[in-house]
Amino acid sequence: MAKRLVIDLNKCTECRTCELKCSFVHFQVYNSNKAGIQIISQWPEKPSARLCLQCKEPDCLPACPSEAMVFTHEGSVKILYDVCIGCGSCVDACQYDGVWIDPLNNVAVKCDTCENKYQCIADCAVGALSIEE
Amino acid sequence: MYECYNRKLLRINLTDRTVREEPISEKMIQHWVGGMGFGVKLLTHEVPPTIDAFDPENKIFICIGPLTGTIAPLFAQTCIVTKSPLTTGIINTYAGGQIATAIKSTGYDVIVFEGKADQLIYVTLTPAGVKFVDCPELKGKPVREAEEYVKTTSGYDNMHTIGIGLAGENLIRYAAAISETRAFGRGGAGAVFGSKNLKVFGVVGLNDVKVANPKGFEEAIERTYTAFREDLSHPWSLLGGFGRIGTGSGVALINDKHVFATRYHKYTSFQHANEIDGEAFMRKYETRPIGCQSCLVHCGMVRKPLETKWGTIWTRGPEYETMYSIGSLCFNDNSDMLYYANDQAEKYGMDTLSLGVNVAFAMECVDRGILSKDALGEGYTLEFGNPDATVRLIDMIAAREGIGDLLAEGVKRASEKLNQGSQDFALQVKGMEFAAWMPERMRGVATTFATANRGACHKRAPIGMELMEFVPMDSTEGRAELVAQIQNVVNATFTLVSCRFAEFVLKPAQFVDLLNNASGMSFTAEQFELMGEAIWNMERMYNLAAGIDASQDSLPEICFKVPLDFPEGYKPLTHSDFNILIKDYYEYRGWDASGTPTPERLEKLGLKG
Repeated sequence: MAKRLVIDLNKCTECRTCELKCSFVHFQVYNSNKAGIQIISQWPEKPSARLCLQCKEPDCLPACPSEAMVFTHEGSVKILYDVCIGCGSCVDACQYDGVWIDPLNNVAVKCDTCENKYQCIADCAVGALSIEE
Repeated sequence: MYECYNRKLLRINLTDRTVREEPISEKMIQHWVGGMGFGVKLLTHEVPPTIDAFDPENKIFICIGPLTGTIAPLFAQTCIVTKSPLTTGIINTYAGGQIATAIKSTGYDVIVFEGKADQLIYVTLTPAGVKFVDCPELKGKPVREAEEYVKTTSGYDNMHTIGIGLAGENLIRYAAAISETRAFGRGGAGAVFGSKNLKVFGVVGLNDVKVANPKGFEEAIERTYTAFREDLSHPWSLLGGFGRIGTGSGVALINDKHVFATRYHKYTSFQHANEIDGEAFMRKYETRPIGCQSCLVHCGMVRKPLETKWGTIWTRGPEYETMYSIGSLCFNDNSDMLYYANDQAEKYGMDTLSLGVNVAFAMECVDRGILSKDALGEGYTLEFGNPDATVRLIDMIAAREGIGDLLAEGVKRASEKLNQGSQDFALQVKGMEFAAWMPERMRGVATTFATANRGACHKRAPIGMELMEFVPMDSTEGRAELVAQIQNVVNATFTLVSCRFAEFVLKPAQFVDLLNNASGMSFTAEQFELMGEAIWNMERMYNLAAGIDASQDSLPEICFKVPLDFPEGYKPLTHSDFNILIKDYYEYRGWDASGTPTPERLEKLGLKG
């Protein structure tokens, strides 16, 4: 695996700031459906999260029929939103629930590490997000 | 311009099950900004002030604001405006969580419920449109269960909801509408839902939330974060305490300062406060802090399931106000009971403040020989400090059973029926039961309780200033002005729609910084505050037309009695002090001696004609 974003679900307060930050960084809008991280509440238990594991040999990329998924220099898989046709092949291929479709624009969405900048981390109020080597 | 607005309003008519979309005008946005501003403007123009709150002609305005759904911290509240069955005046009531963001992403800024369904229904607003679904099977169901049912039945696991429980269905005048454990608490909005046969409103949205100036907004967010982080970095930060322990983190201080109303205002502090405060709940129960959308304070405390003698449940809370109302006011030191009662209030959908005051009022009536200690039936003794009696009475109120039927009407109406001097100690103003805090001790609280458009509400009181004694809490000096200013500013922040706690840290200029970058407008801090004042006066004019006159800018006689442990060195509230406060307040507001805004002031506020 390449470096990746990880979340400590014992710390997460489910405020979803990371989701909105992610959509803003990538699309200049706020929309949780467009975020590469998804927090799922399950009160009273702690939440679960959907997040890409940044596999070195990912199943999603070869499954893409339109070459909308590419490796970045940092070794994570990034989506070319202009190319993606929203077919969902990558969603079916991923065993880890790490990629999904934004229903508004019908494109695939996942964590691409912001080219190693991980812009969500700084805004997490409780330090639940970090980078795993 | 106006990128952060959807600029659309949706009317959902429950009588004929139709919907109508309307544009929101530029003028409306520039004058009233959003949230409470939109709600008050619309209700005062559309709902006749003299109708009964349960008349189908009453409407429910569910309003979000220009900063809703953005990353701006502490703007995740939704504002409901309706005509209150408790006060008969206009009410604005708030809840946080995720529902505001969900509404924003549906493409509307205001949802209006009109009319009355012919039977119990739920309504969903999703990308597939609006659906009206009969739901006789949800009759009497707890809120959480009803919310889950609607989510599952609709097939949307990302749906967010507002619902009511038995209390709303039974028209308990202080029934709350609940959104995923968070209450639109004060004023009986839940009962208005009930009067319309609306059990649950479910929302799913997909739309983007945009801002006018993305770069400028990001910078404004950074400035906002800096302000909050600076505040939170202090070990004594109030918000920091809320994040660690919940809103009950201040009980020890409040108790030490002798402003923790205990045993129906007989005392100013509670010997067993440390059994029911925020620290006690953290010590006794496994807890997880929860934040509303984009919030860095995370004051919501989710507790692990607990086996109590009344049943196994889990709850989120209780909040500080509940520790007062069902705790100290009822002389209850049993935290398990408080944990359970908090869940009862959520399950039935009730405002814990009004509920606790009603329970305590019944106990006080027993002490004074007006009600029988056997009023709860066999096996229960209605008395202060009795947890079983408290739990039993809450059930009876929700079901309108026995004396529960009387107390379901609120202490104002109950005391009018009971008479025997009980009006003098019914803890209410304009029909609204007392929030925590003691008018006997704090002049700003006395002024706020007496003059607030919502009734005896603490939401716009200079509590911090008085509690920390930045101003002497027992002085009338400058107090009316302080109260009016905070009422104006908080009203303005509720157009955005801000959490009440944002104003603890942010100044009007900082709210305006966010608003302008999000909307493209160019508000000044002065204009922003003036808008808050205009909204206050709009509410006031509506309440006057509803028959709530200056005689109701008053406090019950009990506030002029001296509690037994009144601390030395402080002056208790007197009638002459109170008269000064009200006179000063009217003068500062530009109102005449009858509490009516003068034509000149209305003109200044752009409200003439």
